[in-house]
Amino acid sequence: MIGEISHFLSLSAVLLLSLVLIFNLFFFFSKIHPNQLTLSMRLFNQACWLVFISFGMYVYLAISDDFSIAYIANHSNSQLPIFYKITSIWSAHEGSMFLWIVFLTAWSILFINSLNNNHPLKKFTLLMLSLIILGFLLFLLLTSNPFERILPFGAVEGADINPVLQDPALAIHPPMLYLGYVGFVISFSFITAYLLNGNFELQWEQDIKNWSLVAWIFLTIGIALGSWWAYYELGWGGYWFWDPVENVALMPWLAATAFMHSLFASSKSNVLKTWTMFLGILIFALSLFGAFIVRSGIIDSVHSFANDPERGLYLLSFSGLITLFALTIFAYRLPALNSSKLVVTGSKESFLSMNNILMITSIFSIFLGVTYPLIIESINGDKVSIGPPYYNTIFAPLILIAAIFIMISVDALWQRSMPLRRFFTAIAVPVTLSLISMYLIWWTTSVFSILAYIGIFSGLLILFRYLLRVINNLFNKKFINKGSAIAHTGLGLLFFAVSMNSILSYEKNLNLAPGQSILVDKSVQEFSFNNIRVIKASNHDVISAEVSLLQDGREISLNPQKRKYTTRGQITSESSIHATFLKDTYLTIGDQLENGSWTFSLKINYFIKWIWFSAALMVLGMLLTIFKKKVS
Amino acid sequence: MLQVRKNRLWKLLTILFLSAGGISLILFSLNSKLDLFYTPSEMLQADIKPGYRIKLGGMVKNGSITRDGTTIRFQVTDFIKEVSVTFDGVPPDLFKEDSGVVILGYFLDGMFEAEEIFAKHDENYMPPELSIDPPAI
Amino acid sequence: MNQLLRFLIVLLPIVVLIFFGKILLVDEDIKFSNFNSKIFPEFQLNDLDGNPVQSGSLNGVKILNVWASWCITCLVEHPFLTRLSEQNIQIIGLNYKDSDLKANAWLKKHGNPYLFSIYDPRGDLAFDLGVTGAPESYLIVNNQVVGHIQGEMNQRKWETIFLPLIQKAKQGS
Repeated sequence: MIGEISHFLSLSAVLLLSLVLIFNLFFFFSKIHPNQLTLSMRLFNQACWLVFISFGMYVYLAISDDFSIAYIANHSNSQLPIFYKITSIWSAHEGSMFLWIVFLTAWSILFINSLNNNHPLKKFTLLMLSLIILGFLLFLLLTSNPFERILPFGAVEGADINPVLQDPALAIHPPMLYLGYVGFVISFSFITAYLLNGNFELQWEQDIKNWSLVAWIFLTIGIALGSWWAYYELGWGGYWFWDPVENVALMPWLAATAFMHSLFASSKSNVLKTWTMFLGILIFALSLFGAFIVRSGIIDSVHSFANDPERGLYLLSFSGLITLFALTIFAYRLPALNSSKLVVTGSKESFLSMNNILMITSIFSIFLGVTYPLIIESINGDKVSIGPPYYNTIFAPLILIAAIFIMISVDALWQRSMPLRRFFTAIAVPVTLSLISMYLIWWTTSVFSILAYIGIFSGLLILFRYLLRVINNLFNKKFINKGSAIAHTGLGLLFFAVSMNSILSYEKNLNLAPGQSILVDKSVQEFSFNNIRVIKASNHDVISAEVSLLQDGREISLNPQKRKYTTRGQITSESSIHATFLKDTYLTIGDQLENGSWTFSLKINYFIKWIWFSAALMVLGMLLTIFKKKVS
Repeated sequence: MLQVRKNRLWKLLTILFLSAGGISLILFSLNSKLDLFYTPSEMLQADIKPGYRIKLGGMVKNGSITRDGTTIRFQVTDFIKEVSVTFDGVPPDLFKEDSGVVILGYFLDGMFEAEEIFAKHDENYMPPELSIDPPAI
Repeated sequence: MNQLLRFLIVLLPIVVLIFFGKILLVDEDIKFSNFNSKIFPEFQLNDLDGNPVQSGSLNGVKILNVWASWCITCLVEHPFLTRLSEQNIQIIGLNYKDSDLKANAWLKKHGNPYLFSIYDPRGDLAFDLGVTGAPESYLIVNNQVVGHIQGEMNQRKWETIFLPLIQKAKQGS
């Protein structure tokens, strides 16, 4: 019953949104009806609320174990804790699509109601948002219906979600990510509305700035959470695999980062406006592309949703159409846009302009990496895959260039060229310090990899540059843009930590019987396999190993486990991680051999904490930027 | 006006030069750093140069997994041909017999040395090549 | 220059669209991660007559139907299964979490569309298969699970889900 009502509410939302569109199209060519906007807004708001209530009911269905709903039967189980019953909703295609739409609706209703009724762009923005939400709702209800029933009596018990998915970080990761992805529907719709409207004297940047910055934060957190989860859950010790699904999240993030920087420039002066507009459209277009890639089944990756071509076609057509629509209007209006072409060489704007090109290049490289296997397969049927070697090779020079830009442009001025003397002193010190540090690193570690060292150098350039700047400005009591400094320091730290991790980390495979102890290497002096036990938990059995290490003079305990989940009989490994400032000791238990001994994989991963910390810094920097007091 | 033109020209040339460099790098990387994917029959038929890193996909043959200390040996099959594989280390959780697997490594002297083993986050993984057309009756 | 740029801005997404559209619509070679088939789990169970089930019994094209005497929906799909068996479609039953006495009585009363039924009182084989309840049906081709229907089987599901897979399997021979 509740399932039917919930379904009905979603259908009603479709109806209302269609009405909004038809109503406005009808009046498009005639004199605008005095109450047109108010009425449209009312319909739109009601439609949004219907979506929210519908989803709320769906959550109730999941919590109350309504296994007559096929999706809930397939992905939940009565034995699951309530938290995971809720999160099971977005563990697969139909439910996660529903969540996507809920977030799309939430962003839209908040933004559109924040605009004053006599805001010239309100109507067009409303139409764009209605169109997009409607399109996705139809997609959901027509091709990916979460309300399908198992008739006439429903399943006896749920099939349980993949135990690998029963994890707090992974449960939160999709909501964060989606909040980020869909948050950029606002810049997309608003900019398109601006272009449709045609009055280019209007200022538009301020209206969407904070909305976009917040969406960026969610996107950053979403990606970082996914990476963090992959690290401690998958047992491979890796945190980024350049998997297509990861790449399609990274591309919007790069576009969003470029967009923000471009927005700062174009809201201050009259330059880069066209760039900013283009980027604002591109972000959401890339999000849509990402959704298509992940859900169409067209690219086989370790974590794509299994799907059928029909869904792929719908998503492709719909995303393609609205992207094409926005870009065509953009291209059409391009000559009329009031963007100044006079960017002074060596000014902050010029660096931001070059940064845009750099970001577009990065996005394009990733896009090519993702589609190349498809292109090759289309041409000669060969199956190829593009992996880390390609991306590492491409990104090393790109981040070096980015680091150089950041280093130079920190002191750049708006609308004026930077004095040359300042230029040289600004870069001389960081470059020297970085080179010295690199030499020291090589001297202590004796490991060399050209790509990694490019990364280390890039990170150091940024870190030293900002260190220098902070010291300098504190000394001279000059203004520091805290948000920017913290965020960019985070970026430099990321480059540094990732590169150091790649050259220093190593792995040892061990084979011991319970009670045995061995010497591993200079750092891990003693590895003792103390005990192994079997424990029973709520929906799984556990094989728990107790290991103690004598590492760098300190004793640490590790407890790697293997779990067998009752419903599906699936076995997962829970790695045991001892994380310190400099490195993570990461232990995974393998299998038992015939002689009773067990295999272990011991990984020493360096600078992992610094990677998470760098993401936190970037988010913090952004928060400071959003909430800083407006200096008139 | 002329100065503006000249600046533009410089800008254009720089962009072209960097683009050419960038595109060359990308194309070079794409072509030299891609991993070709093979099923056992395809791999045995093709002429793989020893130093080439490739991906091999198929099913882990039932009863073929043996462990010797930290080394695992098993056979990968596509129901037509089989390949012997050796791997040192702890494989991912979903690695088991009668299950789909993709491995990355080198084929030398009739033995495939796996560097990495992949399994999907779903117990029903099988490389698509083997799943769409069920074996003939 | 500007004209070229404007043209490119519109052309690029069109190219991308056509490329992916072509793959989705035309290219047969590019395989989709659809329902991924897997080998039928090993089991050692008897049939409802108490005889051990032979290992070769899942060769060829078989429907495996999960049913039980306590399952009301199974009664609903029963006429359809009977019709299928009369058309020489081979159906094997998986009697799930049931008592063999009740199961045999049920078959006697309503008719037996199955070649035989595997007796799985604890649900061991069902557990390995990923069964969520009864009724549920699997399409097995040469010991590989290639299709799955949840809930009762009916004409529509048979035609849209199993039949195409069966035809594909037959084509391969």
